[in-house]
Amino acid sequence: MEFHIDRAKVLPKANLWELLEGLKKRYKLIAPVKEGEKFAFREISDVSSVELNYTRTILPPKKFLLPYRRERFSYDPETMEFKSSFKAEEQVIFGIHSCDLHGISILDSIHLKENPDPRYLEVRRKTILIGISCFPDEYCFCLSTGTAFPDGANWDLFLTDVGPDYFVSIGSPKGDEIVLTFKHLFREIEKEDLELYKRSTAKKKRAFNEENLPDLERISQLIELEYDSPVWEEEAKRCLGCGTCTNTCPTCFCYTSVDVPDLTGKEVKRIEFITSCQYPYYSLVAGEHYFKPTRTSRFRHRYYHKFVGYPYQIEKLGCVGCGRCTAECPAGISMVKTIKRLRGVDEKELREVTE
Amino acid sequence: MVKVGIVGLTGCSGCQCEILNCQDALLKLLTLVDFALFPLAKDGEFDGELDLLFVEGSVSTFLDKEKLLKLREKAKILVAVGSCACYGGVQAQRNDEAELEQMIREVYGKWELPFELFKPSPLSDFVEVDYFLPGCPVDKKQFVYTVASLLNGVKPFFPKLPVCHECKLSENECLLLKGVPCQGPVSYAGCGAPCTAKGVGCQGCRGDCDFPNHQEMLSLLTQRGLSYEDAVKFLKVFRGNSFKVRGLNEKGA
Repeated sequence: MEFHIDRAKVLPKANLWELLEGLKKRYKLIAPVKEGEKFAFREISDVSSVELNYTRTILPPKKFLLPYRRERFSYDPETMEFKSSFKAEEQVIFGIHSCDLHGISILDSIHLKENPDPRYLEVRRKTILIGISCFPDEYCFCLSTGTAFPDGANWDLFLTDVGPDYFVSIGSPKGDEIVLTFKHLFREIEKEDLELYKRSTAKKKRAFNEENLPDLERISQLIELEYDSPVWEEEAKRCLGCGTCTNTCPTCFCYTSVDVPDLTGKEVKRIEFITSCQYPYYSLVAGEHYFKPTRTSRFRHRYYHKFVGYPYQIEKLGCVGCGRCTAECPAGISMVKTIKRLRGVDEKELREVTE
Repeated sequence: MVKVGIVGLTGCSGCQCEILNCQDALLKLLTLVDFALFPLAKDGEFDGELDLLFVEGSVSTFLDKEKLLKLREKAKILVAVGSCACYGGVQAQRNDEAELEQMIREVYGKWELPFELFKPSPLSDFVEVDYFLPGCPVDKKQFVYTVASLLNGVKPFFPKLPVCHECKLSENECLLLKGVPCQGPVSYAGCGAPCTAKGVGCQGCRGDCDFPNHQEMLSLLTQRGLSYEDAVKFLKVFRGNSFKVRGLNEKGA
């Protein structure tokens, strides 16, 4: 019997380690590892340290596509000769969850759609993305953002845990090549595999708790309609302005740059580093004018950019529901709760309506 | 040759030692500048004009004050180095809790002394300071960056971002979320967050970041087991002289 999914294979779980070893020999291998009680994407030297069952890493895999601190170029201020030390390496990022793959797809739209950034393009060309399926915890809301399952064509392989095996979806010719290279580790799919795959995705869907999911219908309009809502100020009161939400966000990309001279003044390096709209400094311009002068305006700005700005720019929401901004916020500010409050459906109000 | 001075007032000399630890940079600097005045590292007197002066320590005696006023007149650019010079340092953390007389009687047993003392104060209480390099001790990289910028006629750039910025980008586990008292969200980054990387909560040695939300910080600290008074004292350790609880009500907050 012929199946129409010819872009999928099955990888028995026991063969995964050999696949990782093989990838490590050919590329720089990056994968999640456990550090303390949290997880982080790191370059792998020992494949047994790769963590397959993790909820979320502190930082998204974005850091291997857009380093948080990077040198744009260096120059001699007298001759104005410019040099670049940029070099992209062939790399495989393994174990990316669906939300982060969607995050990378958003970064792709930002950096490659209009005026493509040649560096980002080169890094992306040399990067292979291998995703893995996951189960949500109380902070995940990817089901609302439509990012719970891989989509589009920005990833190469996606492994869905179906029990004894991984159901491997192939997303690109690069993914095909990998499967071909490691042919002996994969087997063809059979009808039962398809059933298992469908059951596994349905199981993930059911694992979400309705209470943890925001209603994102017409969210751009909601945010604009609620511009003057007192909710912004009430939530912003607790905001420390520490920038953790944007620094851990898989779709935030703002950066600033500074020229750093060496002691002799013969070489000046232009250093770019990631910054956050939550810092007053971010909107500071000449004459000590702040475009976002209050904590409330900075707080609201992030929601505006995610839910109004991105849709205008790339026709997608800027949020993939990974839950990092909520899970890592020292003050415990929750994006889902803020949205629910803006909708006016937090528990108290709901009770008032029903009573 | 550019004449550089490095002097200390009331402090532990830790910042000057940290400057001496910038070995590679110092070797390069020796070919570019003349360390005309550096009593900790070099013999001899110097009474001439200085292009660049780094001052460590707080002002707490009339000797400190005289020295500082005299040096300020001779220096084109004055940089306050370390938290003592910038904010008064740990010795200033209880400045607002007692009168000077009470402090002196407690320490010396009598009020009449042969010399004049002040409450430990930052340099900016007495002279104009061009740049501030806080930290306990000062960060080596920031010192070298400042010297490199000033020697080349560039204004050094110090955005007052919170320590959380550098801590989170180093992918450390958040200590506040683990229940450890940490001042990262209200403290001025630039150190590279070495303490939090080792599991020690930020002590705020570099002072406040831009528009700190002290009110929320205090409530987070009290939720982690500190009494309100202890939480305020914790924030005051390095902010001492200038500390007041800042929250949402003021401009920019």
